[in-house]
Amino acid sequence: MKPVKVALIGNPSVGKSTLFSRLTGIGVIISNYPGTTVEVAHGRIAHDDLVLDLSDLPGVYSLDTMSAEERTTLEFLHNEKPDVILNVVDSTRLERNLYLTLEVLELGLPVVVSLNMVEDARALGMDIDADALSRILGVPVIPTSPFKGVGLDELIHELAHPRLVRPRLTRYDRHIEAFIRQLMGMGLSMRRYDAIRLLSGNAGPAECPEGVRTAAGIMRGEIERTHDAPIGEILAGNRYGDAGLIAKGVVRHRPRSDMTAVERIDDLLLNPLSGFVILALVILGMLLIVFLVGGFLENLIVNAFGSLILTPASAALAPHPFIQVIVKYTLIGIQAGLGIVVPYIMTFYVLMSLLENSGYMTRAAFLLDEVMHRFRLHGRAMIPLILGFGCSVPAIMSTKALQTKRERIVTSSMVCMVPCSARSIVIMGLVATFVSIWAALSIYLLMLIITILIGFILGRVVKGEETGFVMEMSPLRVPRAMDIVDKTWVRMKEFVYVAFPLLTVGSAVLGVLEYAGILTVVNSLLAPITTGILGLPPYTATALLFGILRKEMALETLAVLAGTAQFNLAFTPLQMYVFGVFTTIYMPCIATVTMLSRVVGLKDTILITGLTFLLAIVISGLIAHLVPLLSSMI
Amino acid sequence: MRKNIAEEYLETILYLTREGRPAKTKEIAGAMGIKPPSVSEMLMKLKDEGYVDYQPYAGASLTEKGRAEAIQMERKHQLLETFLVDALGVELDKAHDEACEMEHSVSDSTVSRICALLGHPRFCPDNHPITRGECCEKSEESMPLAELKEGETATIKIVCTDKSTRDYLTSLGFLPDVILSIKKRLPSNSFLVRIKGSEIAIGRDIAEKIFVRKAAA
Repeated sequence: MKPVKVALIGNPSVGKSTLFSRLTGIGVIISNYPGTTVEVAHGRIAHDDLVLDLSDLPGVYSLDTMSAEERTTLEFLHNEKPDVILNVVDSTRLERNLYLTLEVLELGLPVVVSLNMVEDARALGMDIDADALSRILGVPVIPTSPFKGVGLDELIHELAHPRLVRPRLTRYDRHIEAFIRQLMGMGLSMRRYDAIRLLSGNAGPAECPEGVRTAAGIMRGEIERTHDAPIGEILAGNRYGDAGLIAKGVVRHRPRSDMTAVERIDDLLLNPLSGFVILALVILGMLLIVFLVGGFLENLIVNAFGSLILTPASAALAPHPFIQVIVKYTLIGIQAGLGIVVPYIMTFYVLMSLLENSGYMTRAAFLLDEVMHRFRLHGRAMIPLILGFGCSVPAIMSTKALQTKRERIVTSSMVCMVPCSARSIVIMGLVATFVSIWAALSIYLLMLIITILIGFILGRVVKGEETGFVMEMSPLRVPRAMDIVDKTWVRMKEFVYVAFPLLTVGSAVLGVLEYAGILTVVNSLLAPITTGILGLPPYTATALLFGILRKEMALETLAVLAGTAQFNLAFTPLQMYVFGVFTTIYMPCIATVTMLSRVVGLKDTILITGLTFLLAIVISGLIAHLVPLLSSMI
Repeated sequence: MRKNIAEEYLETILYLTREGRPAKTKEIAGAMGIKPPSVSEMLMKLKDEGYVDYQPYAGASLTEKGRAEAIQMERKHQLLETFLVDALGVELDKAHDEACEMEHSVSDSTVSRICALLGHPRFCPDNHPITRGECCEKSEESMPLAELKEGETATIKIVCTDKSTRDYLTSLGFLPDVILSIKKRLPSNSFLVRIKGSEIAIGRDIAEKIFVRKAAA
């Protein structure tokens, strides 16, 4: 049987991705702020003898502007021709969501509306009559609550049997309606949707005759003249009017009392005084928790692995030196992965998911806009930067949601300077543990200054359109454990499936290269930089080369090469500090570079990468040479 | 009565030149019911006073000065006509004729009062747009959103940002006549606006370009 193609369309942060992952069982990252799912996620449901192919489209507010998300959505609808559209609606913001619903109904495809987050709406004192809404819209409306599994079966049933009915269409101004009818009369298979798009100044269907296009232009001119307003505004006004009427008709408000608590918390979070104090505490707290919890788990895992597996294994293979080298290095790789990647990255992502799903992230962006606009950057650009503390790859991907190329270039360059969790591993595992926690914090401070400087300079140098800060604030919600687990797992998956094998194989290769003596050649070639400028032992060159694959491998490789994870035995504090700074700044890892070239293009990627390398050499070199000079003077 | 006639001429020429080509002496004569030689004579006088550009045979068109004068006359005419029809219930044809007489004697300040009484109408009973006068602009008293204080409610008048931002704002519900309120404003830059049941954060640069009228307290 042919699978039914379903496209999920809805506003940003309406629980679309949560619904999608509950329906399909695959992990899609759910984010409680606008503009994260720019790529389209696909999933398949096999239910009895039905097969549904679901595509989760990016969150959009309408279908007629030209933002990246809306272009993706329209292109998808045009190329993939879904059989049915699942319009996900946030019950707590019914009026605004119905605006998009009315546009979706105009597409002339079967539509099923999922009235999502009905429980949240009820908690806010809103009772929505789903049957009445279904009668008004003329399409099935299913109340859903993905956390409890409410409505999922009905939803699947409705999606599997798409019916094209006569939906509610927005009645526009009679002047516009007359022109829509005229246009539909002119073109042979001209649909209402095409006529509206032509009138509103969009290209319309490709096969549309030139004459009809010209006529639409003349009509648009006349409408705009007599109404003294742009056509987009008139159409939107009519749709919003209709959405308001429908919302009014189906929602019953109950007096509410328990809201004040949430509102009071929100007020504290956004207050200019307490807001910034809380924001600072949250960021600092996050770093500390990552360090403490990560450090605790790291100790536990590394020690247990070392005494239970690594030592016995290498002792057992002592008679066969070559095999022993391979096995030993492979095991060290696994140990490093388990002991460093899992504790720090997992902890970070759990905290990150908490911030996102509780709605705090948008509040942080709102507060930070207050500070960042001085650097000609706005709050929306802060979300990628905060994400950058986790991993630069999704952070750079999320810059696609920014409106202009200028913002994307400036923000992604800045993201490259934000210490991601892999770089945090180096900073925490090396500098914080073996030098001091203050030294580690000073690297974060240094990176913060560099990031701001880069933003400040690029903000002025990079030419292009500037747009202001507009962002929808997510409502404050209690994050649900299942979402946090899901989200953490999805983000960890990349590390588990990609990083782990790479790390293990890389480690084994390193062992062989070491055994064969090739590393010594590479090291001596790069010695002018490592020893000459940075004052580090020559073998760090190998560590830094591996660090390009993944940043945390720089540290893991260093442990392998130094023959110990007790770095204070092999290095001076200054050397560890310089290594930490250099690893943090010098070129983004290979995955980041790949993502960067997809977002800003190859030319700018090479430029950014080159600049970071130069910057790393200059700054680390200065530290390596100035610190001894200064201390000798004192 | 000379002033009245001059004003009638200007109004007639404004009407006849609305397509962009000069008005022929013959057309003016036809429209006003006057003999062509008298028209030519009057047009020469108006040309001397700087109200019209007139070339015998080619026709007449209004200068900037003449045009402004004619538009003011047309506005007076339309407002009087609207007043007669809407406020007094006079028949349309009769209202048109009487407005033609009254427009020459009524003072500017009286017209402003009539305009205010009618609520600054935008269309006359014939459905032609009425030119906005100074009194209409003043009555709007719109101000940038950025000047609102926390907790204040206002109605959007116009959004003057670049197109892509305006489209985005439109899809979020920032449209003329929509009510919004300021939920939070941070000292230097950011605003949190409640609109259409959701909360939207906007920066000062955009808040400066959204013009609103404060709701009566």
